[in-house]
Amino acid sequence: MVAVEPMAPVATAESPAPYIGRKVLRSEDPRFLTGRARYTDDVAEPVGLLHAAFLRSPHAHARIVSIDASRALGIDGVEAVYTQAEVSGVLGDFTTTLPMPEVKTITRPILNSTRAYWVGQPIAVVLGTSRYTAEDGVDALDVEWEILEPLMDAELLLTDPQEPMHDAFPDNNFAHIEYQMGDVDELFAKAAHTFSKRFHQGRYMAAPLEPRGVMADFDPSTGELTVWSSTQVPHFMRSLIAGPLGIPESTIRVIADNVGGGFGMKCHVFDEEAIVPAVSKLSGRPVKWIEDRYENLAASSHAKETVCYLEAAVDEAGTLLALRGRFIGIGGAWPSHPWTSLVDTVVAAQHMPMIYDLKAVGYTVDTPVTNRCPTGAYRGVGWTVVSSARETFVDEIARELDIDPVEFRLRNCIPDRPFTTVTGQTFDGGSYQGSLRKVREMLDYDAFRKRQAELREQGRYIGLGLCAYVEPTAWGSDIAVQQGFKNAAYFDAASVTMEPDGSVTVTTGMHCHGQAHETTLAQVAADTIGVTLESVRVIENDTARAVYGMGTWGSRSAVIGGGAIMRAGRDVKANLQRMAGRAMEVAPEDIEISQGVASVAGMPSRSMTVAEVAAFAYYGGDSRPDGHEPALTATRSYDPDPAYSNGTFAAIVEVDPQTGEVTIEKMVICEDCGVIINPMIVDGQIAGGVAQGIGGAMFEDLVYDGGGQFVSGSLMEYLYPSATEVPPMEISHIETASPVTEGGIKGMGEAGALGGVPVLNAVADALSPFGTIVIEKAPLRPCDVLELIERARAAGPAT
Amino acid sequence: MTTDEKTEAHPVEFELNGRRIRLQVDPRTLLADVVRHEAGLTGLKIACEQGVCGSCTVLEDGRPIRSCITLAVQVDGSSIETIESIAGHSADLHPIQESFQREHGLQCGFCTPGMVLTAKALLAENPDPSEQEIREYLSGNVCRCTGYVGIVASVRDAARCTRSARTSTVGTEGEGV
Amino acid sequence: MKPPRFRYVRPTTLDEALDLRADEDIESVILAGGQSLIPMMNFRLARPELVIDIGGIKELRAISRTTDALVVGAGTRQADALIAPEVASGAPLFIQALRHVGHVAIRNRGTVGGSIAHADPAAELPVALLALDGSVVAQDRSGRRTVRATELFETAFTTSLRSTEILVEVHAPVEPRAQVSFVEISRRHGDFALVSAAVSTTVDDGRFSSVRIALGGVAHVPVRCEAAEQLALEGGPTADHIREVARAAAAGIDPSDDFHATAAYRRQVTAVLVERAITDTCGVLTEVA
Repeated sequence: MVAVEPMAPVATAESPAPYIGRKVLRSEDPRFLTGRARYTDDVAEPVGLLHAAFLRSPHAHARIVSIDASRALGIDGVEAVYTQAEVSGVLGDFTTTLPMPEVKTITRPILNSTRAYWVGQPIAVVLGTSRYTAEDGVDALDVEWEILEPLMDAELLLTDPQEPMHDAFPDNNFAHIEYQMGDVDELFAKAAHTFSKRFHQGRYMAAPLEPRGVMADFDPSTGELTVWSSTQVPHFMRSLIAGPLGIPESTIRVIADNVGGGFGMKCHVFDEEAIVPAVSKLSGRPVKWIEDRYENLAASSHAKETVCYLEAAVDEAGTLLALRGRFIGIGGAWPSHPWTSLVDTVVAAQHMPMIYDLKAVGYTVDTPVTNRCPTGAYRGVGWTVVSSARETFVDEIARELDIDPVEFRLRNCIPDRPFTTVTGQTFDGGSYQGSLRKVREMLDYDAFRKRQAELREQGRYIGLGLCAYVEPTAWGSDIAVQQGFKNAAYFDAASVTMEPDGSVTVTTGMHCHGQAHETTLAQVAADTIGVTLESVRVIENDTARAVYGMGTWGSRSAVIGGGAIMRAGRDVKANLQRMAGRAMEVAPEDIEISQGVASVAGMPSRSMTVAEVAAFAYYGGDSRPDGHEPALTATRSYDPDPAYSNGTFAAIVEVDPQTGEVTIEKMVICEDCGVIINPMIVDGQIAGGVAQGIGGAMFEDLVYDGGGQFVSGSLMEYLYPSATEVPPMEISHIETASPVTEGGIKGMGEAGALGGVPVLNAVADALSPFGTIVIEKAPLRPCDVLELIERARAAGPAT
Repeated sequence: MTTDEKTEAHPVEFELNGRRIRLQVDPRTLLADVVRHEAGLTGLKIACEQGVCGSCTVLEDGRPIRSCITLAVQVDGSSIETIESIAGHSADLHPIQESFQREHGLQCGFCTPGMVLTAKALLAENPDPSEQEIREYLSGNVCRCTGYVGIVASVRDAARCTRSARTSTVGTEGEGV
Repeated sequence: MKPPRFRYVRPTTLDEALDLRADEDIESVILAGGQSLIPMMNFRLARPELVIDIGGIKELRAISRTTDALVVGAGTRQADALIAPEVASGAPLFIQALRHVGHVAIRNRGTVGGSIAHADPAAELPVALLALDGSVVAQDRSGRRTVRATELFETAFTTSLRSTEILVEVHAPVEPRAQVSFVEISRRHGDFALVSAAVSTTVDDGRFSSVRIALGGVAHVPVRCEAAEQLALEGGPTADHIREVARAAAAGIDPSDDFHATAAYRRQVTAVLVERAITDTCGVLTEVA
């Protein structure tokens, strides 16, 4: 991996502060490398633990006439069977909506044992002395199903709504939203060229390697509930389960200590996260449920599936004037809780412009309900979807107009400074054009085109594809509104405490599930206060140990967590300076603190260690300043202004035109996330995202047949890219500091998920000699690639 | 574990991280569950139970196998090694583990024990693998976080370090990876 | 995803295993490496009453080679077969096929006989066995019998072996003059094939004197392409003739759609793979399509 300007040379962790900007190795690594990290299924099991297994609907739509548990309860080791009838005594409903007039509201029981709406829906729960016996119990439940006709064709539902699946959605549509800015119709009417396409982004999902898992221990003597859950949002989950469980938040502790990947999937609050505590309360026993892979694939949350209709108006000079879009989300049987299926569709629509300088945009969004697993957030919500549609569209337009795809993008690109899009997004400046140019240079673009032409002579087909992007990050209140989540409010908090010995404890309401917060947020805290990295400890992932917050998703932690730590850290530092000034008899503003030493400005010999200052602050008696609060601690929150990262991805592929096999040779990437805290972590986030993007573009597909049966229930069907499918990557960075955030930091971590888009474009580029290539769907299987060639041949040569 | 009069517990005896263990298990019990729940070694992870993802990898007589699609009773007489053993009992890391830290070969850590053990087996077979050989050998171990870039770099780094360590300890009792 | 209950025995001799297998009233399955069976049990798609684990039977793990035949004990682990010199010299097609079987960890427990007896229509070893004109030895208490590969695979996951029998040996004729090739297309490295082709050819005086073509992934069983083989014998290793043969192979199959590929795709790439495999066996340079 290469790191190009302006970061070179990368300093190592041994050199002194500042730590921000350096490749600091992860302090959390040893526990993972040695197998000592405890994920939910690894936590020491409470005495008396029972294991849960769910009866899940095998049918897409059915009424449940009866459930007979007598055979199951006769099995040695099966301790209890609970259905809605029992659970509803201790567990209420989930109400899911968004505060927007176009959006409907659904209130539904968290465990529904009378009607099944999708394959995988929990119907009943069996408790056994082991997972083995719990599954035996599920096997032995005798259920009478009355099969109902499933609603599967989302597009058809919009014109022919059918009987409502839920009373809450009379037209079987969760939301219909329309938006227009600028005179779209006029621009289309007078455009020299207009283009249109339909693109169907397939259904795929985060499928983190650690499936979901919940262990709950309700203590009836104290009323306290402890829940271990593989979640990205421990506090938020606590907030959302407290109501239905009727337990005060202060009495619930949620622990999500080590989490094996989330990618947005685990920022939902799932039915099982409320049901498992409920059955712990009912049974009087601790209960553990660990999701298996079938459950994860069928019944956690799906994502991305959207049918996108795009139209473009282009003038004589090849300038993009306006875009129209129609986004139909292929929703599940109800909106995921609490984010809803709009995370993909509305965000996709709002992100139609990205780098393109458009004069007008109009869109409609619909999210019909179908008898499928609910859809929700997955890395790059919505904007990866629209990027697949728009970026393949842009290449198709460029080919049609015979304009080089890089040139076409540069011609239509916004300038490298703050810019407000027609959809109201306030970009805070970036390298929109600069990253495109950088990638062109890294690719040695002209040399590539020469090689491509030579290989074509030999009957080999290589191609190059691009995707330029602007990434919404740091999901706070304002940026949420700019993504289409109107009336939203988001923030996060951090507490910073210097302990009496001078060591520093940081807690945040963010959540780490692979992003190295223990390292990166310690870098921020150490620089802010002026202490050594080793003296900082970051604590998250436990509502009893960390301050309240909304967890980690939406590329929020670096900006919001980092910013809150900066604010709290500065308060602590100011207090330290007051203390040190008093102790050394100088004004506080004359105290400099660096590497754990407080010294008098210009007089380095007059100094104290921060440990000495801290001891003075806590236990210094009367010699401390009047009115001083001894504890060196501060808790601050932060809701930043919108911060947008940007960058460009390119892929080089070779396509075998006889078999449709695609080999990705390499990815070339330039990203700009403002001030970088730790380049190693940034590169890792990009590379990981790229693999997932390649999955969505080429391999991963959650398929239902026409009868609503779920076809992708194992990893023989749902194909994770492995080390042989994901190519080497070259990554470079540009650092355009944000003018609006603490420290100039922008969020990052999701854009890698666009990594499949340039692959789609590269396949089209490789195959362009065969005729007009139009990418209408993802993922592209080898048979789809051959079909592209056949269609191109049938349509005749490209114009 | 389960108790049931219909299925008799079956004896199994194998070596686990150098220590001989003897158990009576329900024969349907997966090796992964015995190692995790009976022996308390939770380093190996269960993530697919169909032998696809590699998170449950352990070494059987030095060779990587899937403990989620192996019954405990099947490894009777074998020697099983898990992630907990490879660095010994000190806080030190094995050189391969050090390489994974240096080259950012992990993020959430869930695939990591399986990756490290598979890398160990690879380097024992082939001390100087090419990038393609590394990718193919690791292709049965899924990582959802890293895009494999850091993992491949880690294994290359480990191979390099191991080779130079071997060169510098010629004549002493060199321990292979 | 945990296996249902079953009764388990782990005999140490083949005779013991055959005695257990002999009771036809008990629904028993043979557990060799378990790399297919245990996932199916974890999904509770397989619910055997009795599991007979043959992993402890050493006599099933021998590999031997005479001038005429390679004999691989059914319990031989795929990883061991892959590095066995007898296999490399006696049936190099097996080596090529084994490289495509799963991943390292699967081959470390998966067995040669287990993969063949499992009869997955997309698996590699059954296709290789067909192309080698190999056979298996099935044994029960009454004795041993040889079952030719062409008579072994009845339908998906079903062989002609009797419920009392155990597959004990895999035989492949040693053909020093034959050239072999195994090619496949899969979604990812190590996956089951969308289509696989195994070919064995012998050329005498510029003409094919023997050609066997086997395909996987194109039917409910691995198939031999007899019409195409006959056609091949009418000519020699020229690019045109090879292409004709490949087309004939593709014309003779009736694949179906599934999740990973369409039927039309399978037919189309069958021609490509057969052409490539035959070409590979006789060193002909094909022009690009």
